[in-house]
Amino acid sequence: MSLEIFDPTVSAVKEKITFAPRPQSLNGLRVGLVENSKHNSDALLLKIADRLNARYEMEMALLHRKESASDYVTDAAIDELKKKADFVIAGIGD
Amino acid sequence: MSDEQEPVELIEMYFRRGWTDGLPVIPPSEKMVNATLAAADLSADDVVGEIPARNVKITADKVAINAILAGCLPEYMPAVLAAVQGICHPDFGYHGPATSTGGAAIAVIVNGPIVRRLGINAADNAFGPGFRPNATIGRAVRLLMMNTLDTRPGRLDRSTLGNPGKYTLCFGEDEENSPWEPLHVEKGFKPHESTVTVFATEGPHQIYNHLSNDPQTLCITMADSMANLGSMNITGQQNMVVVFAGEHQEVFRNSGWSKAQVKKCLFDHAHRSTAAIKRAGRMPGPVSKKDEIERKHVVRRPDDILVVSAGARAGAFSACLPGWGGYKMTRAITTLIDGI
Repeated sequence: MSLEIFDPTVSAVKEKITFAPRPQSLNGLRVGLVENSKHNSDALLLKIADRLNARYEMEMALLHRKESASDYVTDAAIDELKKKADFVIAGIGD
Repeated sequence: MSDEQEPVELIEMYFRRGWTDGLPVIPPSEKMVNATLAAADLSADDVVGEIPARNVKITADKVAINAILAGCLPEYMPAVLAAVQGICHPDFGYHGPATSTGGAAIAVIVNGPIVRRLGINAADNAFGPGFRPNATIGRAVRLLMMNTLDTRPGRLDRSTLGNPGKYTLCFGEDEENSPWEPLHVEKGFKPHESTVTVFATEGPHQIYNHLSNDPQTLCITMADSMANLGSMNITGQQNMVVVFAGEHQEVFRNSGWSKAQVKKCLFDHAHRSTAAIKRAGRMPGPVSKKDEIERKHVVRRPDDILVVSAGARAGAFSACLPGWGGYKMTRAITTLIDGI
């Protein structure tokens, strides 16, 4: 009688991610923020945006608040971020 | 290697590969896998659930293998399958309760004729231990979470404390003795249908009231436990399960209280003032006069409370199972058990 192993696991399907082109310069870019709706996540991201403004004259273009921390960023929000911002910072508060 | 040693060696192999919950598993055989798939009329590669955030599709053979590892008999497979479909429902919000530091257990509540058919315990020791279907169906769900969705401690399960209910937490509703309509009928299913309800929870908080013969005071006792300041419900207002056992069921039966009345009374009493929540540091900001008057209920409406009958006929104990997260993140999902 041979040992028979049944693998109970599933591997996630790997997807190739294409990175957006890196900006040549940080000066004057429009920054989008995505916060996860937990306490102080907006305060933290806005503070970062302030510093980017002071250092690179970046404009805080949009602060998107997720419906809940577990939620995805919706396609509509991604479209809006693409239109209004040159890059996005997503962060969490907890 | 002698035949006598082989089962132990197989079990150790599953340990070494990290495919257990810390307890020994039952090594599957091809015959067992086929019998388990047949019990749910499924083919091995049928996709039975998907979590898009994890890029993972769960196939029937993986459900069968994990169910066997957990100790399930083939006939338990339809119930396990319904639980998997429940946790994969978008409104369950799998990624949150599975990953969170909050450490939710997944309560599996079974309703309908399958409770009796499989021998799922709904009476004394309803929350365990001692009953194979309860122990193994609940365990199968957790093993599936670990093995197919990488919900492992230190990986995508970042629970601060863990939770004994994460090994298994499955029970039936005692529909025969309940003073009310069963949970699944309340959710729109037929009495002859069977369902599984999955719910992300902190686990059972037992309450004791041996003196009261009055439904309102029983609800007040329960509501006090429901509305503790450390509960996630006090700010999240997600579902909460309330399980009344035998002696308390009799108080409600004798008083003629409907389930709707019970829920309303629990809702009315399970709240804290915004001031109390702020003083406990669960909400930010200074306490205003308005905060002393404003009340925060543990759920948004009475129907967010799932009232279930289970437990022994004797003993003046019942329990609430507070939810994980918040109402925007997850809700209890009731799924029909197909093909039985």
